[in-house]
Amino acid sequence: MERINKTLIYLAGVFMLVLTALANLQVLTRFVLEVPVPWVEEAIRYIMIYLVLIMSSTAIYLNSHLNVDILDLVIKGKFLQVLQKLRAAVILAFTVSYTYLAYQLIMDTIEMGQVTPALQISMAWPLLAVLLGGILMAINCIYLLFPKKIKFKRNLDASKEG
Amino acid sequence: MVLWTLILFFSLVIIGIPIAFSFGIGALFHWIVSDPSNSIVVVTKSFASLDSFSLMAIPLFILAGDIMKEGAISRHLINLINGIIGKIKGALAHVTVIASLFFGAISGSSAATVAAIGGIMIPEMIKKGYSREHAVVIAASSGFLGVLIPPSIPLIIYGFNAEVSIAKLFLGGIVPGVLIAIGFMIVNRLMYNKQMNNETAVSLEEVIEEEPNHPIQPDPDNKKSFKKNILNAFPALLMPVIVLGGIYSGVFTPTESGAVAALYGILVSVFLYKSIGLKNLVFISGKSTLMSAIILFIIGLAGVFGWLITTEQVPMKLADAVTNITSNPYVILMILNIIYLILGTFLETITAIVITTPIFLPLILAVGIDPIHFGIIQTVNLSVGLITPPMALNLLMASKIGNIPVLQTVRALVPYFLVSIIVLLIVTYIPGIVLFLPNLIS
Repeated sequence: MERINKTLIYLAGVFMLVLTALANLQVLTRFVLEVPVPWVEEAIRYIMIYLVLIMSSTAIYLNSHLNVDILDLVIKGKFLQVLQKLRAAVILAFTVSYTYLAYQLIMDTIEMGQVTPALQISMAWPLLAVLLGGILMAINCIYLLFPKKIKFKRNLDASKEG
Repeated sequence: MVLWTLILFFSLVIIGIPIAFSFGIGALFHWIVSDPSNSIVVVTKSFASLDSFSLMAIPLFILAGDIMKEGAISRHLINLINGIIGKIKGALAHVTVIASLFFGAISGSSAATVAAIGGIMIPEMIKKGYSREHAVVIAASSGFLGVLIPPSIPLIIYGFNAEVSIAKLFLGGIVPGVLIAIGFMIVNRLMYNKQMNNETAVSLEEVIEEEPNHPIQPDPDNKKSFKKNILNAFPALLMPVIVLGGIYSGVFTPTESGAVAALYGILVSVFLYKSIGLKNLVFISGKSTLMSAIILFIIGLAGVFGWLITTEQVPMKLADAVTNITSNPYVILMILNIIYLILGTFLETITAIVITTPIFLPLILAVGIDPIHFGIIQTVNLSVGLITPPMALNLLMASKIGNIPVLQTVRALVPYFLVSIIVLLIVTYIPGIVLFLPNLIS
């Protein structure tokens, strides 16, 4: 899982740079060549939505989603571990329903044959980001619930300090 | 019904479920209980909230800021400023404030500003005899300037939520930012004797590991080094001109200016300063995307929740309830200031903006307060939250750099906190200070 998420971060890095290049291309085509390219903006939005949902799954693994962690200061030891498991379970429950709803929506969209305004591809493609991100999020949650992983992470932390 | 949804939402937040998921679960619960056939809205609305070109300014400005932070840009800025004012009393503290001011004009986040400027200046100040807690506090407070001076990520998020012009909001932040910088420099001057009281100087060496090969240039007399500093810092100084000039001349939108800023940062740090390698660039960009994803994921699911509470008329009811008691804008602003100062102590800035803006906006509009004015008040309030424990991001970060426990800094913090509160009151009660710049463009 460690390796998968690391690869995902590098991949996201590459795509983010591509996105930056595309956005600059847009400025260039509009002002220098005076030929606006309408699909660029749409492509930027959809790439970013993919990045957001996929990186959100990596953020679950790294435990870096923003939360209010007042309880972590009060609760210690075993209870904290239980709390963390509870959190992962709650998130898992949500991601599974979210993913299921996304699946339904994609099926509906394919049935209706809706296409995106500029790129003229099926609207199902951008929506696929939600499904893909949801599945990855669920996998990462299950991984957090699996005790072997926590041991593994603690070893990592210990080796860092030592 | 909506009451139960809100109770569930806040309970999830308190037990530490990430904010984004708390929004999502709250909304899902609402529809499953009240109208299950409609629960697909959670997906459609979250997708629709993210599907906005103006939001794309956030990842691009975060990327630009991260590249500037890792590149040598902040170091060149510091060298130049130190070269100019390095001789006056307490110069290093002033250099920290001014460098943060300029860095704020490059980056849109206060965390990036604390890391970029504090990372260099905190060890440097400690080395020159400042006490650790003062060095940490100066850098942490100066981080405010990162979000008040445009570009600013919190202001983009507010503008998106409140549907007001981001270009105008950016202009509104300038005067309050400069006022805070001046206030901090006055405090630096007054506190000088206290600050130079380094009791922990023994363990200095461990802090100064930070790039020992590139000491900052403390030589204001040398004309040659001054010229060199200007040349080196020139690309950094040009950056705000390109970004802001581009926005206000109408050449590009705020989102595009983020892209131009990121590209410019890459060109300067990879090819000119050669401080970032290509592989490292991909990694920085990846980490930056992770951070953006966390923020945008919150915005996406907050969009669902915001839509829910708006259709349930919660903000309207709140506005009615409050205006029944008082419709005096001064009193309402005072109440909001207190609420935000408290929220800022335990909520992270972006979370606070996303949760509160849709709730308070109808109230603000009902009593005739300009939404641009309110955006700036909110940002100043939440900036103060960045240095008030327990959720004091700037202070946590600076303390890590300065290697002392956060609580030890509290006493040194007080004067900077007071200055921020004074500026907050000025900004709140003299709207002209905020609004005269945005009103110049129409």
